[in-house]
Amino acid sequence: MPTLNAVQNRCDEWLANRYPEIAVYQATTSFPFQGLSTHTVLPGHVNSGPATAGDINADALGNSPSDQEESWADADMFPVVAFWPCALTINVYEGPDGTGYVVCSQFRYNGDLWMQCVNFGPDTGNDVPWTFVDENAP
Amino acid sequence: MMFTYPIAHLGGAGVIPSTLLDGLLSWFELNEESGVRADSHGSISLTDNNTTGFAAGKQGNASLHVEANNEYLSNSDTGYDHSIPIASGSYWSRYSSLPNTAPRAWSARRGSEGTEVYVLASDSKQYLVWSGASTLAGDLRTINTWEFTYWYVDTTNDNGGIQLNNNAIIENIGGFVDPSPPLDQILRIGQTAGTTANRGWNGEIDLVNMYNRVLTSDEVTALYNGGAGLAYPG
Repeated sequence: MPTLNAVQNRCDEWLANRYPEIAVYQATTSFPFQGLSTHTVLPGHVNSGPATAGDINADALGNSPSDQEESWADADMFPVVAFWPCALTINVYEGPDGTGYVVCSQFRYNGDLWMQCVNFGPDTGNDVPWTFVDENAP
Repeated sequence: MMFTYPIAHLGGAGVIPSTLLDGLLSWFELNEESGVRADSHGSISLTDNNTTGFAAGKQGNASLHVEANNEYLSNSDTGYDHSIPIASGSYWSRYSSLPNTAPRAWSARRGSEGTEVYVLASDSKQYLVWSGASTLAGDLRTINTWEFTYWYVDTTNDNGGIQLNNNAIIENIGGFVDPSPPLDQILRIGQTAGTTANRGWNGEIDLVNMYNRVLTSDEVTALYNGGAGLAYPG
């Protein structure tokens, strides 16, 4: 019977191993990788059942932005992981202080959308703690 | 006394009021083809997020945003005066589709208070939204067409307005009360400045400017410039 905090903590633990893998890609290629959402349907967790019941396969690793050839799969960034507790996107930026990237993770809990973003680079203000996203706002 | 000078050489008609530099905070020509976009008047720069492209604009180039790629321009600390009671601005934009319910061409938010002001296009109509407390419906827009937008928020007189092209401005007295316009922190072009998901623009944006005062109708007409748009007048 996972609580919201329990789901967030599981995602944080899982993400702790993803961040170094993304950093290795950056260090190897010397350019930031932009990743569209890894899932077409976000992992959906509920407050009942086993803790891992909402984990689902990342089914969109073959997608890439229209101005970047490499997809997640092409970049070979992650080991094969059958089930993910949250979906990932990577947004890249080029600012006056240099380039960087922001890893954002999302999941649903009882239908509500939750999001977190972690910045890697010079731009401040990109970090977003776990936040409820109002999808019905104008 | 207002001084004017001809702008016929720019492709428009009429004259530019010399006051167009008064109270101007920033003016983004958006002529760059990639990377950081410069402020022709002020000192802030726009960070390029997810390799925003370019295309022919109203004057020179425009920024080209692909919503599916989450391409937008941003500044996370504009440093504009927190206490200014009035803000206004204009821009040109063209959308190639409306892939989500409320794409933003322009948005600003004060992160510490969550206050946000933005213009969105939903159901082909543009709206001026003030922190969710007041929404002012503007005119219908047309897909794949360059269109001019002017907006203002005047918390001193509890008023706001939005204008499309050279149509009559639509105003709404009430609802635009304190807090002051949140221009001092997060500014985004082509995406929401808030945390609402999927509000990206799909198309071009050009000639974005912001002021700390309401513009006169003559000044707005000069910015519209007979449909040609106006390059930075400084």
